[in-house]
Amino acid sequence: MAPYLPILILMGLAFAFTLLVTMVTFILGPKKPNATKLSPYECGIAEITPPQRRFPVKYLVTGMLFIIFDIEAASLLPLSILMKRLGVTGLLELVTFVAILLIAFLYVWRKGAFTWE
Amino acid sequence: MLGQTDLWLLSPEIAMTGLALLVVVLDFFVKRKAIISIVSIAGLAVPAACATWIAVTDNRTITGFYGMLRVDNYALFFDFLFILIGAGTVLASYDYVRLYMKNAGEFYALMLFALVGAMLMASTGELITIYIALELTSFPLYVMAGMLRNSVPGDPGSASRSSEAGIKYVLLGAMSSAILLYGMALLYGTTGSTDLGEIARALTSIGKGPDSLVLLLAEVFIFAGFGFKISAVPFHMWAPDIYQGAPTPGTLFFSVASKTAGFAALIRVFVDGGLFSASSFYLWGLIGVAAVLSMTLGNVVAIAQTDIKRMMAYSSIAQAGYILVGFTALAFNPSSASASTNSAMLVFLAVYVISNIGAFAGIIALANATGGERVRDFDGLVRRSPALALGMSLCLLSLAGIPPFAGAISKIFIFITAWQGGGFLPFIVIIALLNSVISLVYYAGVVYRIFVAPPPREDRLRVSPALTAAMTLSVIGILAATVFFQPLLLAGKMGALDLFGFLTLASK
Repeated sequence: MAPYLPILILMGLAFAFTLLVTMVTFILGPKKPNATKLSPYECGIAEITPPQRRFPVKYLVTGMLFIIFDIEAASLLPLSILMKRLGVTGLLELVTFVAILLIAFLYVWRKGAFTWE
Repeated sequence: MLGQTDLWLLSPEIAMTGLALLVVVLDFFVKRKAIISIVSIAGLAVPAACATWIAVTDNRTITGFYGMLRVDNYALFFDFLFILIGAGTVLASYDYVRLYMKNAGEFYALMLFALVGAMLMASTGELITIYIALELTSFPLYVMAGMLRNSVPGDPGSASRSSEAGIKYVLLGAMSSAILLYGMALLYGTTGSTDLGEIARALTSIGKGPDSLVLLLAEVFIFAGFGFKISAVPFHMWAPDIYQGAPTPGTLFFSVASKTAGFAALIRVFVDGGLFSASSFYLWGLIGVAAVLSMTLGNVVAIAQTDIKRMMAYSSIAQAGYILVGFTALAFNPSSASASTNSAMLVFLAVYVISNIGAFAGIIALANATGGERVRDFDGLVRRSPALALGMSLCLLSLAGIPPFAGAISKIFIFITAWQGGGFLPFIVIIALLNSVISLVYYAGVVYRIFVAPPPREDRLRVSPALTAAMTLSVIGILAATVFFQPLLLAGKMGALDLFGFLTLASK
C-alpha cells in the first residue's frame, strides 16, 4: 500500500484541480448564449444531410469475413514456424484446419457474400 | 505430441464434426432436401458407433490431450443422449424445415455443430475447454432461434418474433457467458489451475479466509452461468420468449440439448472440481433456493399460459428445478454416497429428453396440420388424430410424472435419494412433491382438452411419416425406459460412479 500512497495523493490533487477550474469558469465566466453558439457546429456551412446516416449492411458481412480469414492467417503463422518440429502430425493438423475453413469459404461463396451488388 | 489414443477418445466428436461439414457441403450440390435430412440422421450412426466402440473397450484409458479430454462413462452416457437428441430433432423437424425454412441444410448443420459442442461439454475436465465447448453449443442455437425468415402461414408475426428471439438469445447468452467466464477466472485465481483434478487437489488445502470468499463468488458465478443454460430461476427470463419465438424444431432442440449440456457440465465442474467439498459456506442453501424457486415459478406460471410453447418453456424451467433438487442433495452431501442421487439426476435427464422430444413432435405435428400453437388448438385432438393424441398424452403424462410411466419412476427416484440426504432436504422434497401436484393442472389440462373438449372442426389430421417416427421413437423410448428402468439406472450409476471415483482419485 505504502509505495502507492503518493500516486493516490497525486490522483486526488489532479481531480480536485480539474474540478476547481471547471467550477470557477462555470461560475465566473460570462454567459451570452445565442442560437449559433448553441448549435453543434459553431463554424462552417449548415449540414446538408443528417450526420447519422445508414450505411450498407454489406460492410458488416465483409468485416466479419475479414476477421475470420485474418484469424486463419494469424493461426497459420506460428504453425509454419514450428512446422519442422511438429512433423507430419503438425502438417495433418494444418491440412485439417485449412480444409474446415475451406468448407466455410465455399459456403460463404455459394451464399453470394462476395458479390458486392 | 498427438497420440492415437487421443484421437480415438475424441472420435465421436470428430465423426460428428465430419457429419456436420458433410451436411454443409451436400447443401451446395443436392437439390432434394430430403437427402440432406436422411444423411443427417443416418450419419448419426457413425458417432454412435465410435462412442459404442469406446464404451465396450475394457480397461481403456479415459483421459486424452493431457487430461483435457475425459471420456469416462459419464461422458459416454451424455454422448448417447446427445445422439438421441440429434435423431429426434431431425425426425421432428423434417416437415417443418421443408415447409417453412429456406435453409434446410444449414438448420441440420447448425444442429450437428451444437451437438459437437454439447458432447465435448460432457467429456472434458478442463475449464477453458468447457467454455469453448459451451460457446460451440450456444452459437448455433442463437442462429437457430432466428432462422425463421418468412412467417409461417396463419401466423404473420412469427418471422419477426423469431428475429427477436435470436437477438435476445445472443445478448442474454453473451451476458451469461461473461458471468461464467468470470467465475472460472476467479476459480483459476484461487487454485492456480484450469484442470478440474488440479482444482480439486488445490481446494483441499484452502481453509476459511479471503480465499474461501473468492471461492464462493466463483461458485456462484459458475452456477449462474450454467443456470442460464439450464434455465433455472432466477436465470430463466430468456426461456419463454425464446421458446415461443424460435421455430418449433429449434425450440425442441433448445429445450433438450441446451439443458442436458448445461447439466452435464455443471455437475462435472462442481463434483469433479471438488467445489462442493471445499465450500465452507452454505452453497447448498443457495442451490436449494434456486431449486425451489424454479419448480414453483415454472409450475405456477405454466398454468396461466395460452401458448403451448410458452407452457413448455415454463414446464422445462420446472423440470430443471426437479433436477436441481438432486443437485442440492449433491451439494449438501458431497461424498460418493451421493452417487445414487447423481445417477437419479442422469436418468431423470434421459427420461425428460425422451418425453420432451415426443411432446414437441406432437406440437409440431399439430402446427403443421392446423397452423395453431395455442393450448386450445389441442381441443378434441383425439377425434381428429387418435394416434397423435395418444402419443402426445403419454409424453405429457410422463413429463408430469404420472405412474406408471418412466417419468414417474425417475422423479420418485430423484426425490427418494434426495430425502435420504437428511438435513433440510426432506423439506425441499415436500415442496417438490407439492409442485408435482401443481404441474398436473397444466399437463393434465392439455390431456383433458385432447380427450374431452369438443374439436373445433370434425376432420382427420394428416401426420407425416417423419413426425410419426419421432413420436413412435419417443413413445417406445418412454415405454422401454419404464420396463427397462433398471438397466438405464445402471448406466446412470456407472456414469455417476466414474465422476465420484475421479474425485477420490484426485484427493489422494
